[in-house]
Amino acid sequence: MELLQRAERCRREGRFEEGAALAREALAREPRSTLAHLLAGYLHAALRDPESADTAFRAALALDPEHPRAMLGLARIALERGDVRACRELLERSLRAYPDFPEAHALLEAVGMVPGVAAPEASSVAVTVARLSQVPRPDKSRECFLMRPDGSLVFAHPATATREALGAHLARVVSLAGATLIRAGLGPLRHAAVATNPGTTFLEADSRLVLALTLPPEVPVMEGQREATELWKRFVAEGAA
Amino acid sequence: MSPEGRAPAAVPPGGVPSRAAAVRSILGEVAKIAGVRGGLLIASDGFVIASTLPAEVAVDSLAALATTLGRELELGTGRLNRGTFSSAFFSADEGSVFLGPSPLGFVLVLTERGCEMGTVRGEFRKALDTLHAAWRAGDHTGGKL
Repeated sequence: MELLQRAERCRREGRFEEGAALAREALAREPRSTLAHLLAGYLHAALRDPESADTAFRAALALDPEHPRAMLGLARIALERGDVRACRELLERSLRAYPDFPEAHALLEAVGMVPGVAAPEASSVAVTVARLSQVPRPDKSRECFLMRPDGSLVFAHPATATREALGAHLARVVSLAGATLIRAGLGPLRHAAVATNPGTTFLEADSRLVLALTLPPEVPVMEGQREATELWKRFVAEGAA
Repeated sequence: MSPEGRAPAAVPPGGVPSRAAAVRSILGEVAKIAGVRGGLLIASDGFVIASTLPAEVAVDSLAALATTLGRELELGTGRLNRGTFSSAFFSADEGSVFLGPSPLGFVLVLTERGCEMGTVRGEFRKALDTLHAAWRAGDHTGGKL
């Protein structure tokens, strides 16, 4: 037990590698310890190692099939892998075992809004797309997506092969961000900016549409936001909604 | 029963220097900015390492969602060859959430409506840079922090 207490302390102090080594040592001595497997799962997840975390959480569940935290751990990994259905099932199972589990409730609520696979572009919107493609975009625009909150694309420029995967990713971001804001008591998502090294993606959202405009990293955030808001207004004026 | 089951209490002894202690002070500094309600330092498994959020905020649920969002941003940008996620903010009518990756997991800062976004954004990025620098300065087990 002392090893596990030390491993837990490492976890609380952010010394994840050391904690994982202690959990391994504990498991070598006591391979049937649910708690040791669970702690190993947490530590691997904290180290951003979902494969090892998955193995550890499954081992915990093999010993205690109704362990809600092991199910939560697996549910999060399932969502990271894009398996929304498995994630939802695991969260529902964890809530059957422990109905007052706040993290599972929060995630299930968010997952309820997360689309599994982006719907393909419907041919009926071809006319709309042709019209929207004429809407002037900012000169520096690298990518521009207009989509439904379920991830189905209304308009994409440029029309790359990965546009549907990107649409699905953006839809998951919008759903999870929306759930986070609501959980924080701030209301539904309106605007966002996600910075990566090749550029910043500015988002505008309401209950019917999401606009994602990617601009180069040198564009100041305020300017990018203004460009995204103006573009959003132009799309809406063209009947995108 | 808590969902944790038979987890040990394992309260860390006082005075032990750790990475978490170093980053807690950084989080405390961000929380002093006008319009900032508080912040969270969350491990990538959703565990809350430090919080300066007011008591009325359901920290565990918020952390679970924020970490899942952070992982989607990290993994999605990587899978789609869109570089590395460095920071994000999400705004609603009543305030905003800033989220950024750190070596320990994620940092979240919650702001009120009408706060000076540019100032918070600048300080938030500085805090993330400081965290990364502090991490690099430590040895592999965090012993130098």
